[in-house]
Amino acid sequence: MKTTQQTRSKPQTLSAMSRLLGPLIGKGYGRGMMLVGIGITVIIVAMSVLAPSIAPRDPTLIGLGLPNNPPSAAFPLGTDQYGRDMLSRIIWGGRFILLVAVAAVAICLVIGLPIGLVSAYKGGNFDRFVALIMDSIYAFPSLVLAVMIISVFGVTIINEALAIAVVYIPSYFRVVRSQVLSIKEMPYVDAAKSAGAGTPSILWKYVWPNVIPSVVVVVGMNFADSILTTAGLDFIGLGLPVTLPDWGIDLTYGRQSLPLGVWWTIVFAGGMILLAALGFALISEGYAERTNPKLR
Amino acid sequence: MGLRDYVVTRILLTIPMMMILLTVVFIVMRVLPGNPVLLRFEKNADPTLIATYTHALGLDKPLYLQYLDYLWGLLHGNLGLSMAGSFEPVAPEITSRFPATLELTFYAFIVAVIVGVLLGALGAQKQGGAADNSVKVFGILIYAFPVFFLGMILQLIFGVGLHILPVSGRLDPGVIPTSPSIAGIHFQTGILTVDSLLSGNLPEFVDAVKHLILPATALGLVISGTFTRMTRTNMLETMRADFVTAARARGLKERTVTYSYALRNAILPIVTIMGLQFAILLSGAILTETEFNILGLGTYLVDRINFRDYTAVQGTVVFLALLITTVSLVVDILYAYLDPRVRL
Amino acid sequence: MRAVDQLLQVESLSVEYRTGTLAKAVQDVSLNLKTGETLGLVGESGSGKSTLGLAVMGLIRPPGFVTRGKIVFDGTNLLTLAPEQLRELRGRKIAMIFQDPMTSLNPVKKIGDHFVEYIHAHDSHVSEQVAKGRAKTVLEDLGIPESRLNDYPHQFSGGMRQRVMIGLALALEPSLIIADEPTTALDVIVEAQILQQLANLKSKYSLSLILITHNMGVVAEMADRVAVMYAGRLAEVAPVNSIFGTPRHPYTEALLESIPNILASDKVLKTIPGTPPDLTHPPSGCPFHPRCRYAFERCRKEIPMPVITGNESEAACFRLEGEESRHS
Repeated sequence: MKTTQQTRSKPQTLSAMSRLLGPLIGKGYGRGMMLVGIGITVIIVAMSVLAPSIAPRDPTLIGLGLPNNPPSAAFPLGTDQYGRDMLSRIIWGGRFILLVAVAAVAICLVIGLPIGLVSAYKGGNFDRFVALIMDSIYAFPSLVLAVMIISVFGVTIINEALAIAVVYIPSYFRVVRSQVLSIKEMPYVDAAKSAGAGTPSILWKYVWPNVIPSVVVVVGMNFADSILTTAGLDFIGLGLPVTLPDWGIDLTYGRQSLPLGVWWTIVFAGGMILLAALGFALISEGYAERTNPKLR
Repeated sequence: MGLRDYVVTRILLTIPMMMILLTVVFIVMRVLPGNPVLLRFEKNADPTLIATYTHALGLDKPLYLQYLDYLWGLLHGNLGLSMAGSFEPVAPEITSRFPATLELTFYAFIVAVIVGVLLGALGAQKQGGAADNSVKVFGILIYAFPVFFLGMILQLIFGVGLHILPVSGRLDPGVIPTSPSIAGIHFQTGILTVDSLLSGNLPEFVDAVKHLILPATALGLVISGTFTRMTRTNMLETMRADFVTAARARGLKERTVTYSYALRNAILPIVTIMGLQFAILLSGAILTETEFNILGLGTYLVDRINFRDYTAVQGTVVFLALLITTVSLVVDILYAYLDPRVRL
Repeated sequence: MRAVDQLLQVESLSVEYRTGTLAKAVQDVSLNLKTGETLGLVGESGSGKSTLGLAVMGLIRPPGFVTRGKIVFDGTNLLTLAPEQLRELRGRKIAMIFQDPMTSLNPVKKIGDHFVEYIHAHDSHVSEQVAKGRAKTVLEDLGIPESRLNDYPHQFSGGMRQRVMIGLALALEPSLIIADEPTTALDVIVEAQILQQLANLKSKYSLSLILITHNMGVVAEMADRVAVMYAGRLAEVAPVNSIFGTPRHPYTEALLESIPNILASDKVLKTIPGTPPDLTHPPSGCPFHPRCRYAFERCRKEIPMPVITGNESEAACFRLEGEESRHS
């Protein structure tokens, strides 16, 4: 049985996977939050993936029902101003948003992590220079940057993902860098070096496993922010064409019918955006609470 | 190091940061798209029209010259020329729209800090209990709420439903903003709540405040989530800290310990994120202004985008970048003032 | 044990921590402290000695809970006191010095303000001037000049910070000081100075001292009596000379043997085999039995009760059961 003293002085030779998945199992704080978050996220992702099979009608067809009809037996979530079935639109509506989020996170991980690891590990002026650039970008509002990029380059999954990723990479960089900087000083890294371990192997065996928990937390938030930013872009008019099913679009255009008392379009569309962002945020918070002893 | 030295160093550091941001904006808005005029007019536009525009906006000069013009212009307060027909300078328009955004952001910030710090402290004090869990859940829920969606809901409830608060604009139609004067000199900050108070126009003040309640609350609540979380975490950490236990060991009153020891140290890191929160506030302000029809910088930006006025968009983004860097600087200096350890 | 001059009597104290799992930090500990005595409380990390100190101060907070026992100080059971009464007692009659001087002072308060605030908390009528005067006197005893009252904690070295802590502890002339590893975070030279000062102050102010440490050398130098803890339980209590001369508990024996002795003929460091127990899953019976060289069947099944082994001495070990009749 390991004691606190032993785990502090021994290097983290547990595999990356167990560090990643460990907090999923076992009792303790944050578990409820994390499980609820996972539940919500899984349901939403499943719904989006299975949309073609489970949506009762074609979400783009207009005039299927009376426009702006409240929820009824035929149309459980009502119809929008074009007479489209809200239920189908809601089921289909998350795909673009989720794809953008996935792409954004992927870009961040692929770019942000290595830069953070290498820069922090190398240290010196190189590190300071990179950190300065990252700090400059870090404070920039994501929506403004996204607006800038999308307005010039147009609305595609990649563009939106890139716009969101650019502003989020510094977060990954910072988180990774601060972990690396503290681990770098640990005696077991010196021990490994004197035993002849090269940089890549040290990074992989010692640094990376310790970095994972913080990265997971950032990833969760990244997903949530991405969803909110994409919806925001829709609201400004930098989103998909109004015919395509998208929660952000429905929320934006549903607003026009608000004075008529048409609440269902915006409530369901807005609610889904909220739920999607909430799911990821809960995972992130729950995971953070599990892995950060200070939060207990 | 002393406060003075720190301030100087920090200011010097701001310069490369600004340069990086300005260059990034230039690259994205000017270099990468090729000729923004082409983007404005699309494929089958009249070539002479395009040539005129390109020349009038100085876009036919070599890139490095444009870059230098750009930087030089900034030093003189020139944020570029608009593409909307008569090539008006963008700066005056931006400065006239900015006060509305500043006012909204300011009040939203106050809401965010009050709600966030109070809830966070409450959660930390009653850790593990029902109050704490509610605070935690609220913090995350409000963070995940799209600000414009929250705005819509508030409008529905208080504007359309209960009919007690206005849902759009900054003043009721018919209320004219007055400009205060000192010693006979008229000036106008553009910030309605300030102007109206300074000129003693109480009805205008009340009206302005009424129009601010819903948007500032929506924006402020959404931002408060981060403050709540941070305050709670910091308080928990601090309340467990040795110096807090030591303070209790000396028999200090629990109230003293909570506020003068725990909270006082816990909010320090929050000051550091205020700069970041300001940036998030700006993003949110763009959406809030659009939702509540407030004519600020956010609606200006959206407006210019819809008109494909790329040079105006560039000017606005540059302005925001400079604004954020300045706020960042001020916040860092404030933090050094509050926490003597940072001055090293 | 006579009851007349007992300043502190701890009876069957138990403390647990509930953080998803249950850890019994202190189990059934009974101790006494006489006025003017220095009691050394030793044990490894996790033995429960710090928790015991905190319990006496009334500083056990959730997720920690005092589940059993009495703490009688100067005739009053502290566990029955209202929080406000306990608060008044803290810092005034019983003071505590903490291990890490780096983190024990409020980083944003000047040292002088620490004193003023502290003195005010116990007597709001005292003027700031008088409070600062007291601070000055106390710190002078510890070798810190008055000019430093306006400095912040981070401007002091570790040794000086600890001295400030001691100064704070003494400012209101308590009868009992609990020092939790006061010199562990300091280098040996500073440690020697601090211990010397503690000893001087103890006689000057007629203090009783509970010195919590894992360092047997400090104990040998400062303590009148020693209590050895293991896994939350009391292993042995005896006057300092007896503990070092004739340790009765196998753990004490092993502890003493593991102290490196430069004069010893063999150069192999003796260690205690095994590791300290996990307090959430303690071993059955005597907590030390998995590592004890004398362990037998009964040790695995039953928890040994303290056996009186001499004048003011007792140890909890089944090997000693025969002795009780000789000393009762």
